[in-house]
Amino acid sequence: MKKMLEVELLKLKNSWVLLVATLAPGFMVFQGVANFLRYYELFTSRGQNVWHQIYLQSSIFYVSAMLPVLITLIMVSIARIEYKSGGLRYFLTLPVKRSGVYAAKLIVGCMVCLFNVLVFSLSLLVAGKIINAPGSIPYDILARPFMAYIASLPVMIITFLLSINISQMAIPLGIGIGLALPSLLVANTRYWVFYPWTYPIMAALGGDFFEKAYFPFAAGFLIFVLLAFAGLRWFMEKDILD
Amino acid sequence: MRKFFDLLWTDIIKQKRSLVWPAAFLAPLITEALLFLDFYLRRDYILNRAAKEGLSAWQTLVLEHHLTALWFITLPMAVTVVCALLYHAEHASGGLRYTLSLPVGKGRLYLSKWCTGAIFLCLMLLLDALMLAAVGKIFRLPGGLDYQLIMRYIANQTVAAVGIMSLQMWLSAIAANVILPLAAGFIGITTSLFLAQDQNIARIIPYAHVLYTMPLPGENNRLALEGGIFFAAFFLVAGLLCFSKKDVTE
Repeated sequence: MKKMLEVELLKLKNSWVLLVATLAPGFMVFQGVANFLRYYELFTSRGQNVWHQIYLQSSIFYVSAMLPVLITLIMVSIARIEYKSGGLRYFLTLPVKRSGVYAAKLIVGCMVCLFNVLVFSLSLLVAGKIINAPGSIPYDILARPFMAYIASLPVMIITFLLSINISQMAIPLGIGIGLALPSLLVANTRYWVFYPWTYPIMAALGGDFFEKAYFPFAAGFLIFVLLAFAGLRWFMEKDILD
Repeated sequence: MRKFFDLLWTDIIKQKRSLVWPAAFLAPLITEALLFLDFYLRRDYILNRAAKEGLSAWQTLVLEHHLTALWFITLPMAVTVVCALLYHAEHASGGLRYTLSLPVGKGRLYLSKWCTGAIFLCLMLLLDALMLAAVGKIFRLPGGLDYQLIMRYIANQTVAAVGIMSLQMWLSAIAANVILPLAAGFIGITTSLFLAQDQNIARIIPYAHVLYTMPLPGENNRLALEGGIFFAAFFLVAGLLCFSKKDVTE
């Protein structure tokens, strides 16, 4: 398994995915901080915590637009490497466990997404220090992105399954992006529970204001596990020539 | 000139069964579905609020379409995907290498791809405008259909989006890995959402120009028009120069 994970990571080495996963959160924090500084008076007029304001400005579009789109790009990239060179067909003819191949790809995909969230948290800290944000760092602003990550698990597994099943890259890409776009609108309705793309938004920005605070994590984890096993079962039975 | 039109026609024919069609048409479809839901759920509230701000019903429809239904994000994203797909098919099948080895001229080849992208962009905006008018009619907005408003809206969007298209075409042409132009586009679009509010910054970000395309009182359409024309020309020339130096074997 360790070897398989290493192989998967090696495949990503020259695919730009790691660079994108590193740079994108930095840009989001940059635009969030720029917006905060632009409306500094407004955002601090009632004695609001500067760290919280930086987090809020940076994460609004990060969790609603950037994170789901990046997850789609990451999962599509992982699958595309195989479809591009016919590698999956070759891979499946080798004496390796199919479950191992499936798990390695899924784990690496989730790891790259986690790395993206880590960079986001780190960028928040660096940005706060650069603008000399007063007071100690409230650690909930570091925990929230991870909560958003856990709530993103259904998005990860859905885009992973679409990417690994469909050789046409545009289909998972279109579905992933198409479903990510309305998430900010759906998150403002009571129907958000039916739309997994809203879970990271609720986890990162919902605060204590929304009911069913446990829901994105419980439902997200459950959907992930169910779909991961269903996908594994399908992958085990997949015809090499498909 | 005939060679160019042959190339353009070939490029369009190549897309016959490609996913560029659904990519181009799903974007306005999703947006109009959201707009329809928005008006279905709160038509009276939206119109009353807008009337207090001195906006007509059709202007309100454009405002809701652009901001609430997120067309200002969806349009640049759709343009990014369409441009990437137009070149992805070539990079994946090696078709670009084959075409570049023919005596057609790299400049013509690049221009034909650029024009194909522009045709899809115009089709997408036309479909969006038709559906926008249909939504207005379905909800019986007071006053007749404001043709002038919608025509100005399409014209502004076309000019602003051509700037993005030009940039994305250039990125898609030079990068064999489709992830690169897609990621650059998505990062550019999401990063510019807040930055676009400052008009001085928005001027230099092509992805931000779509935000300024609503033909409503107080909107700086000039920013979108000037920026769109400048970046369309700039990136077209940059793309032509890069593409003409492209090695056939790359």
